[in-house]
Amino acid sequence: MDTSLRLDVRYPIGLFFAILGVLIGTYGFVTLERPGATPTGVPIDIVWGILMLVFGAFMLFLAERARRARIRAHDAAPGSSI
Amino acid sequence: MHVAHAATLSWIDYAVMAIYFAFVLGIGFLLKRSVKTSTDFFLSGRSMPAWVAGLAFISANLGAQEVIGMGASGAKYGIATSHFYWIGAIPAMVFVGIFMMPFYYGSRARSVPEYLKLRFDEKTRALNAISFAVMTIFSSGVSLYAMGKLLELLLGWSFNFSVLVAGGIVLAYTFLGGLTSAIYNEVLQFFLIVLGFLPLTYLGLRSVGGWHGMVAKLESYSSAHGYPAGAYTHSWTYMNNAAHNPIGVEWLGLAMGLGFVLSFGYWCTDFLVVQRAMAAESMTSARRTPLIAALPKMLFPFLVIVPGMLALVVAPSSGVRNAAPGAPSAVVATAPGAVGAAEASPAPTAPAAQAGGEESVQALSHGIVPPKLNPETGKVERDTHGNVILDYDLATPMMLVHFFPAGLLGLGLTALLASFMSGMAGNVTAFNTVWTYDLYQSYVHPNASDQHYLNMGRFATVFGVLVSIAAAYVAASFNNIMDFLQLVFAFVNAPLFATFALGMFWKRSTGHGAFIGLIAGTLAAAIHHGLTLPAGAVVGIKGGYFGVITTFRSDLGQTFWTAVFAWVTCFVVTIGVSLLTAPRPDGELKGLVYSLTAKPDDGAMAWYQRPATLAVVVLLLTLALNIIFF
Repeated sequence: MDTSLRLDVRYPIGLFFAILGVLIGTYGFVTLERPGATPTGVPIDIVWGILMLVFGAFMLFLAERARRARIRAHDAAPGSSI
Repeated sequence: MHVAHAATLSWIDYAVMAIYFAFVLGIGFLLKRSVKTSTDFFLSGRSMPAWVAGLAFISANLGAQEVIGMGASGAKYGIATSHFYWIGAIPAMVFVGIFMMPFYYGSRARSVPEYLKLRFDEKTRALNAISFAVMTIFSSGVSLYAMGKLLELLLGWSFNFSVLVAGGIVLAYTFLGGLTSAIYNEVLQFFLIVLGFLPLTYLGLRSVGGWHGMVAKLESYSSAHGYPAGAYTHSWTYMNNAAHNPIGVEWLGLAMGLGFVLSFGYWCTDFLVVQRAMAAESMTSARRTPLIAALPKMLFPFLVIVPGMLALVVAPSSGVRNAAPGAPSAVVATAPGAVGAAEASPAPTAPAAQAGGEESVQALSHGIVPPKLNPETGKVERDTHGNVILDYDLATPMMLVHFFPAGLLGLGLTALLASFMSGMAGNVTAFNTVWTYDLYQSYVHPNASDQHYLNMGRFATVFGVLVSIAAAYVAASFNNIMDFLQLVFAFVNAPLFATFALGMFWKRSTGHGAFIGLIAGTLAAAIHHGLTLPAGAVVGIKGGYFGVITTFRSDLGQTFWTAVFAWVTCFVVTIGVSLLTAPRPDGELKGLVYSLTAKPDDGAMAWYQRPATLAVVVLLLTLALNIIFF
């Protein structure tokens, strides 16, 4: 398999959780005053939304760092695939 | 009583699900261009990094039966359910990584049945391939059925809609990207399941006053049910006698049946999980795959078992929906029994509760676990002593509905869907490989082009999903047939590890020995099951059909000892027949048997990079967990 054609799985994972984090966190913020929005006293949508956003951003950072490392390796050895 | 569903969803919950579906399909489309050969489709071109293969290894096993079933067992047996991880999985995962992967990966076999052909002979491969192919498809169907019933009863979704949409999405992404797509989605699903269920443990523990609060409440529950106070919160202390623990098994049966035969039989021989390691980019990565998987696996009890334990003791009034009966996404949650017929495992098709009364159902619940309702009459079910039987399979779903507000509820339910889909995709990708390589290429159309087998793999994927969907409807209509099939599969699987262990570590074992040993082991399992019965069970599918000579305290006790009998029989018969038949020359067994295979040379690696080091770390951490929760 030509792995250069293949997607780095960290991109979709990072993007997915970043989107969900923003969506759920924002929803939690907007609906904070609604009854039931803070189970056991925790604004869980906001807390978990931020956590997912951070996790997603971290995965995207790792994927991007790996991509740049591949480009550097490719530049150092022209002819090899990225 | 008006039948209410446990929850209604708001737009944000549907949005989370829609985004998830878009991503899994998108991954399939993006990977389509990287699939050019049958090896790409069936084995991901053997190019997966160890961490990706490792998370897929664990995620393929993280189906709904695990998420729902382990939550149910947590409620039923307490922390002793962690035995399914700490002795029932981790040691076997270490073993397969260190000792067996060199044969699987090094022999270049494309599947587990193909290894059996290389090591033994064609008939042993055929026996394993056929039973595995049938078993995976029916397992997939059972999973689909359980998902359809659960969503129908929890959310009021149409059974047909749930089954067809989930089946269609799994078909799309496995058809397009093959094993790579399944593995990528399994990694996504792994993180989704972890992040989707982790808040359950956090919120549940907060609501009962932390870990010590949960322990105190479970001690009261345990004493009230005739067990020592710590029986639900200690994993080993009360294993000296089957009567002293809710799991109903003593330590020897547990260690031999679960810790050895069933555990090693599954993790070391089941192609569904081994396929993920075979897709790794190198021998070292293949060996690391199960070891990397073992690290999160040992912590899963806190993700899937503890929520079940909490469901038993949280106050019904502590949830977001009881506090907010008028909220837009609120549950009409005064009658948890309304979903009481839902089952995560094959169960009688059931109309929602119609009898028993809202008040009585609530009064008979423990925590938020409702009583089980008879599918025919809608009445609360009781055991032979008149005690109420709880519907433990609803423990985890009820926790989701109880604690998660809109938004997080969508995440939790999507995680639940992801667990169903990852399990199904695992089955389908294992099926299409075994069908194409071990049955079609071997017996129907050998010597065809690689493109032909790639096309056949895609056709097998469609076929596998369609048969899975059909099996879901069979399960819905003729539940006993599915129970019976699962029982037969259990008999077939029980002796398998004896065959593999002898094949890999005793060069004298022969194909005739392996084949006859497997059949004898399967028969021994059926005979043992037919002569024993769990306490309180009726003769039939539960056993005793040849006459009852022993009664076990629980189903699990019977299952564990049946497995031990099957394994010992297979082991002894394989040795006996092998000694009476001609062995293969040593030259033909190089790379297939331990004593004739060069050991992987890890000398060039730093000590902390070696698989053996990781294995020691995994085992020490597992030992520590066993001691902490002893």
